[in-house]
Amino acid sequence: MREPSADELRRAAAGDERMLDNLVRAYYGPVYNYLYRLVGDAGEAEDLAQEVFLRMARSVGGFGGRARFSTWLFQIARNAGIDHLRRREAERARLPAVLEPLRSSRDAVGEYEEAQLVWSCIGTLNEDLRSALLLRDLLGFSYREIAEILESTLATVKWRIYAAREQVQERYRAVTATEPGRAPGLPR
Amino acid sequence: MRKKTTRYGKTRAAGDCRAFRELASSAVDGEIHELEAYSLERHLRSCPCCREFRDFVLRTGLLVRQSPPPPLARRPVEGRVLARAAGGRDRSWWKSRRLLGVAAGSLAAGILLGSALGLRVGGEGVAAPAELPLPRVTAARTLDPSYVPYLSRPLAVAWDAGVIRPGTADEKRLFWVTPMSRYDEAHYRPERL
Ligand SMILES: [Zn+2]
Repeated sequence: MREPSADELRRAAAGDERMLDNLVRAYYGPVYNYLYRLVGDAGEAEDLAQEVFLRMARSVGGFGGRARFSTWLFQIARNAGIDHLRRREAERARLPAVLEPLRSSRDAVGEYEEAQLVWSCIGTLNEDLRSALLLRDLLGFSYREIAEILESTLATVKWRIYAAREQVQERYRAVTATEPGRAPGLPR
Repeated sequence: MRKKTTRYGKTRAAGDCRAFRELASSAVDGEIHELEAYSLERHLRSCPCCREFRDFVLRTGLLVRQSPPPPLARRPVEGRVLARAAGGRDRSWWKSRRLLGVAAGSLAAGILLGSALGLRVGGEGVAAPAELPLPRVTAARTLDPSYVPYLSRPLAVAWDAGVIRPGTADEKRLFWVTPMSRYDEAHYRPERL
């Protein structure tokens, strides 16, 4: 992700439509992807992504380049995601991140099914671990950047990413071990 | 390999292997010191369990990066909408409300009314009374997404179904239950409906 320059951010803060469009073009996809994997629902992730960019537009004037723009933006995205998960949990006491399969064809066994299984395992992680893992594996942020986004320490980030992977492997194994010979599928 | 239970209630590799697995996780991300990398390599050569973990992390990382999210159902928010939000001091929402004759006769009266309703103009915007329920949804049909792109789907559907009628108490409630917990003209444009 290319970081916008200080001048570009000043223009965005001043309400330069083209600059704001550029920011949307550059960051909307990753923000939506992250939120989708965090909340597990595409429609909700879209609502949240729109909300994140409105919040960004409102406060980019006060951003002041203290951190990198991308880490600041994902901080907003993460907070919006967490608020949403809390709200949703309060509204209907259901598990967050029930991940839907992207397509239903049953014959495409292999990499696709494997990916789906991995995603369903990631979906069972608690939000702290899931966010850390998504920021790393999905978006490629460095540990230092993730620490900024999560407002946490480097050691905590390192531990969370490790713990997330350990739990994902554990759950992956639990499923594949109980279904020998079957390509790892998803609860449908 | 021994297992122990952590505060997360999950079993985890104990002892040396745990430390090496944590290192392996960091190593995959390129977040490891040279000395640590050396001792990790030595351990991995003799420990199939940790090797398997490292390979699993590499493989799943790849799968995660290669999984696209579902395609967007709506256009992303546009720069011209964000520009108004960025301006911040643009009160065209109030102006358009006045033009529509729905809001109070003057801005002062509007603000007065706003504060009576617990609204705050400017700054952090409108605080959402938590106890207000969502409007009841009685029917659903597809809503043109360009109309109310910032409402949550149940609200958009409620609006579209006519459950929320402009100029009613329902409409006021709408502000309080939007995901933004605040509103401005950018995510609420009744004149376009
Ligand atoms: Zn080992």
